[in-house]
Amino acid sequence: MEIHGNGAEPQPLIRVQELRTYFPTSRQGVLGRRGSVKAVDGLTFDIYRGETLGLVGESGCGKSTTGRTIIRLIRATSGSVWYDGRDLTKVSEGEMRRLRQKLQIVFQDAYASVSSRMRVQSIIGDALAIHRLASGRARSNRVAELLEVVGLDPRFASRYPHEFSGGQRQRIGIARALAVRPEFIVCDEPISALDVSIRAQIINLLEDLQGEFRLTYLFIAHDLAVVRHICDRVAVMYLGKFMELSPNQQLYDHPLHPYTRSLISAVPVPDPDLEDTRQRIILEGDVPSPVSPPSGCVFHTRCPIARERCAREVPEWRQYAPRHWVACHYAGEPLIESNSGEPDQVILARSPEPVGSA
Amino acid sequence: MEMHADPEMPVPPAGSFDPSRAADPDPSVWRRMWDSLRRDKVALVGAVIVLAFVLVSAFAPLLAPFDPNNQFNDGLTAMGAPLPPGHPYLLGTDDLGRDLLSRLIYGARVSLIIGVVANGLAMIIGVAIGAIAAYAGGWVDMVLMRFTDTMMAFPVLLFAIALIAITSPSLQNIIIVIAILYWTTTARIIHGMVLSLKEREFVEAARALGATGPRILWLYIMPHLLSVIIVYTTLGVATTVLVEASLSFVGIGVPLPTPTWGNMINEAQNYYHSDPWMMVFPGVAIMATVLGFNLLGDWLRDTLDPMQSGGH
Repeated sequence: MEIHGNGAEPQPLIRVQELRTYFPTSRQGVLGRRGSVKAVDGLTFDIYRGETLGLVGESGCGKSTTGRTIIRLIRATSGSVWYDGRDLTKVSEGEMRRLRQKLQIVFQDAYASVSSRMRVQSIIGDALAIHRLASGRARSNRVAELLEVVGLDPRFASRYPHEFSGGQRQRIGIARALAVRPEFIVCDEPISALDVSIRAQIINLLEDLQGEFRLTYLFIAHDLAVVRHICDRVAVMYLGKFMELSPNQQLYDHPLHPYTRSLISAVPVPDPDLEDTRQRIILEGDVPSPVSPPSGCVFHTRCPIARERCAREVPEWRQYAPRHWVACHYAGEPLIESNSGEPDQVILARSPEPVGSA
Repeated sequence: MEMHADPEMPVPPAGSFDPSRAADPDPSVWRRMWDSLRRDKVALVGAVIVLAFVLVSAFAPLLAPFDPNNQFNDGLTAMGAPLPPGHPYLLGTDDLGRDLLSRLIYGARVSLIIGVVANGLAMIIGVAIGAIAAYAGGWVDMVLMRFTDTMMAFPVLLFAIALIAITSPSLQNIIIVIAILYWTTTARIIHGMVLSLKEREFVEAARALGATGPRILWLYIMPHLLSVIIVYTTLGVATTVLVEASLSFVGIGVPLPTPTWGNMINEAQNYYHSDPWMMVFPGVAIMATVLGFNLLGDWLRDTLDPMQSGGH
C-alpha cells in the first residue's frame, strides 16, 4: 500500500486499491474469443474526507465507469474500495443498499436521471422513503426544505421534471442526492450538459453545499478549466489508467506527465498577452481502442517523448514529489522537439497503432 | 413538441404501436385526449359503442323490457316457432319463447364481465411475468420467457376447449381459462419494454438511492408501462368477447339458461333458415362490440404514443 505524504494528511474517506472494471465484448465469430474493454484498469488512490478530487480525461477513458464502480452501480472486476472499514466490492446487496445512504451520485443528464412520470415531491421524497428518514408530513417538509437548500421554490414539489429548465433539473438531481445526508457524492460531469451561463451557478451551489454539509466529492469532468476551479486534487486519466495525480495548483504549475501537459496547454488563458505566448502541444492520432490497449505505457503511441522502453515496460505508479503521483518513465523531462539530441532514440508522436499489441 | 425517441430502444413487436415512444408521459394528457377524440370521428364511433356496451351491461335490469329467462306463453307461434321482430317482443323471440332483446341486453353483461375480469387477470399475469423476467435477467428471465414461448405454441382455442371439457363449463372456469391462455403476448411486449427501461439512467439513479428491485419495478418502471397496458387491455376485450362467443358456440361456454351472445348463436343454429334474426342480432352485437373496442384501442395506441413522448 502506498504512503500518501506525511502524517499531517487528512484521513482517507475512501480508499481505492487496484480497481479494475472490464466489460466483456461480444464474440468474434462463433468460436472467437471473448475480449474485454478495460474501462478501469488498476487504479489505486485515496479520496480524503472533505476534499474534492477531480477526475479528468477524454471521453471514453473510463472516468464515469470509475465513479460508478466506486459506488457499485457497476460491479468491479477486481480490486477493492474501502469505505468505513468495509470493502464495498464485497459487502452483501442489503448492506450495500444501506450504505448507499452515505454514497450518492449526481448525473450528467439531469432529465434522463429522473423518471418523467414522477413529481419532484416523489423524486426527492423516495430517497427519504427508501432509507426511512421521514414519512407523511415530515417528508413533504423535508422535500420543501431541500428544494430551498438548492435554490428552488418549495412549491415546485408538485411539478413534473419536464416543467423545469436544465439548470433547475440539475438542482433537483442535487437535492435528491442530498436528501439522504450523504458523506460522499460522485459528481458525474454535473455541468457538462448545461448552458455555459448556468454552469457557474451549479458549481457555486456544489461548493456551498460542500461547506455546509461537509461533503466529499469525486468530481468528474472532461476539461481542466472546470476542475481547476473546484478541486483540491486532480487525477488525469487515460485509457482506464491514472497518468498523474496531484494537488490542483501543483498540477498546473508543474505537470509531470506529457499527457497532462498537453491537456493543460489546451486550456485557453484569459490574459491575451499570455494567450499569445501559449504553446499548444497537439497530440497526434486518436485514443487507441481500450479492447486492445497499447503495450507498456498506454500513452506511448501518442506521447511526444516516448522512447523504446515505453512500448515495453508499464510505468510504475510512483510518488515523484510529495503527494504528486505519476505514471511515466520520463516524468518531468522536457518535451523534446525532433531536432534536438538523438533523434533515433526519440519516437515522436505517431499513428495510433499499438506497438506489439497483445 | 420535443420528441424524446430513444434510438437504443429495441424494435417493437408486430403491429404499428411503438411502446418505447410511449414511455414518457405528459400529465395534462386527459384534456388533449378528449380534444383528439372529438376530432377523430372513427375513434369517436368506437368510444360511443364501448360506452353504450358498458352502460347497457351496467343497467341491464332497467333497460331490459322482460325477464330474459321467462318463456312466454305468447312467445311462440301456434306452430311452436320463434316470433319475428314486432310487438311486444321488439327483436322477436327464441325457440323457447324468450324475449331476444332482453337476452341480448343481459348477454352484454356476461361479455363485459368476462372481458374485464379475464382480460384483467391475463394482463396482471402477463405484466408480472414479462416485467419480472426482464428486470431479474439471467436464469429467471430464461425460464420465464421460455415458458411464455411454450404457452404461445399451444393452439389456444383447442387448449381452452380441452381445459373446460375436463373441468366444467361455468363463468368462473371460462374466466380462469381465458386468463391463463391469453397473457403471453402481453408478457412479450412488457418484457421488451422493461429490458430497455431498466437500462435508462433514472433506474440507475433509483439503484443509487438504494431502492430494491421490487420498488424500482413498481414505482419507477410501472408508470412507464401504463399507456401500453391501457391499449392492450382495450384491444384484449375484443379478443375475449370473441373467445367467449366461440366457446359458447361450441357448447362449452357459460351454461344455459344464462344468456350470452355465444350461446344465443348456438341455439339459433337450427333456425338460421326459417328465423335468421335469432342469429343476426347477437352476431351484430358481437361484431359491433369487437369493432368498437378495436377502434378505441387503435386510437388509444396512436394517441398515447406521440402525446406521451416527452416534455415541451
